[in-house]
Amino acid sequence: MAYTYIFIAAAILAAVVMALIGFYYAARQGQLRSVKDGSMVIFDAEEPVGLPTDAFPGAEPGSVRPRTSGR
Amino acid sequence: MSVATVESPAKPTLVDSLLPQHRETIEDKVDRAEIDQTLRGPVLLYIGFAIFWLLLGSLLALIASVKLNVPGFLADWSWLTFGRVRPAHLNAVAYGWGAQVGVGVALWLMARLCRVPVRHGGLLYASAGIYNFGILLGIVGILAGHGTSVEWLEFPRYAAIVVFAGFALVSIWMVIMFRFRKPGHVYVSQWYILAAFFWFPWLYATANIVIFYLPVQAAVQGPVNWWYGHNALGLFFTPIGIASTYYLIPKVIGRPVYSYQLSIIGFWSLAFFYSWNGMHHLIGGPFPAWLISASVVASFMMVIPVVTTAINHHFTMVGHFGALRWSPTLRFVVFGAVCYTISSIQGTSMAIRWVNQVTHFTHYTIGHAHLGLYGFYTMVMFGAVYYIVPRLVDWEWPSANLIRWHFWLSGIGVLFMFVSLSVAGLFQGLALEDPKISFITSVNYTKAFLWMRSLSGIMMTAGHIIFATSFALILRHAGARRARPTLLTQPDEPAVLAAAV
Repeated sequence: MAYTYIFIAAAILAAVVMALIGFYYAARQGQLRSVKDGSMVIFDAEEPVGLPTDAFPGAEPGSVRPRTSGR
Repeated sequence: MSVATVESPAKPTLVDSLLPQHRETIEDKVDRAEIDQTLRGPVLLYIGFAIFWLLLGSLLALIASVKLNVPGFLADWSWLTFGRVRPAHLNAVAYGWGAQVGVGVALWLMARLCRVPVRHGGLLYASAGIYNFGILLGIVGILAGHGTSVEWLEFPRYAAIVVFAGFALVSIWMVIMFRFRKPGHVYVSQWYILAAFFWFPWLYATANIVIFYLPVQAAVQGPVNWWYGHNALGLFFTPIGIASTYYLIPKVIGRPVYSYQLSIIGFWSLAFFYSWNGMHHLIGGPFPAWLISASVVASFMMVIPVVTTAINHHFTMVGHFGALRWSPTLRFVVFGAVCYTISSIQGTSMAIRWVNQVTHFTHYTIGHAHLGLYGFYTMVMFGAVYYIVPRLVDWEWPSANLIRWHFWLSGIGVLFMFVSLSVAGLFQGLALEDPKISFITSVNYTKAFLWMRSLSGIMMTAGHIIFATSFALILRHAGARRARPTLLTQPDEPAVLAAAV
């Protein structure tokens, strides 16, 4: 029985080890450096910061991107 | 789209994409519209199938719920006895709806964030077909009496292996997509999605093997069961939900996430601590104390990812709450984000031994599960679908009224269910702890609350029918073409916008 519990603990620890490997990979890839800029990668010239992309009504032309064009 | 030199002139095969030595020059930039175009079929297929299972799962839930009030209801038909309908409901909504809508949303998010052309689309169609065949086999198998009775793993063995095969194909696609992404920073949503699609097949395969194929001793199956059941929530549904909130909230309001550092801390702390959580379900059971204690400690460590995510959700939205009046996506997603915080903190509190002693084996746990999987995850997925589908079909949602009704029925429904089941559970748990109170009295305490549960279920089901109607209408391009997104309200001009943004 004790061996089985050790197996379960090992399975759980395997998840932690895999997370550590992932963390190491991320660090090696430079993903943990200058993370401040990371938040900006979802914005670009097409959909810049400050441009709502869903559903703000009564917008002046250009301040809300119509979803049915230019995507 | 500008394209740099491509080293492999031929279109890569699936084997090429999987070979470690295969290298390609990544295209400089791909239009979002092009990505949407190539993903339209698979994503709509996954979302469409998911909505079908949501409707069926809701019907099964209503039957099970009514049976708690009227035990004789449909009792003469073995296929619809409570012991079969209830697990059929759980599996239909968890794997049929939850996992599939998550796949649809995650495919779209991953492709957009990787910013490269979608490759091996056929893999996704094959995956959707195999996966849904597995779900169908599983649900029919459970209703036919072939269920395993292991919670969250009730699918018969012959269905589980098909489900696994279907899901594994999507995971392979995700890895390929991530591998050949556009160089540069990996957004936090990509980490969450990649991890979720790595974790789930591993969890599902391991749990099935250890419980059914090479079964460990009976008493040890409990920890394996809860290791899987809890991790399916925390290492699959939660990461997809959080990935969606971290993309959709900033994109909808046009503002970067409040603290990107916190989002990174949140992801890695989830990865490190969550896998120990499941054993807190077994407090008081015949298990080694160290196993339970480690789980209790890990449950408290979850405060780190939860608080960091909650801070980010809240402070990203500060100054933009007015936008909730007009954006369908934001309304659903922010509702879900709030429920995430509440259900996660509640989950941690349920790992406290004296709280667990009262709430274990009661409706309180069911209320908690619905707050997490529906109040948080499903509401975020609804919001994501409202954001994604118009971009895929190049058509706006035909009716703001339908969206409004959907939101209120689902939102009020799940809160009503959460409150009624939580109160019922507390009464039930305290009664069970009192030796002077008979068991049947503890059951009687919950009767009124179980009717409330049925009523809330009717509300949520009505919301699902409305959602499915909206989805069918937008696929058919119903109504006139709109130049602007469908809004929940149509307020006046720029002054209102200025207040919102």
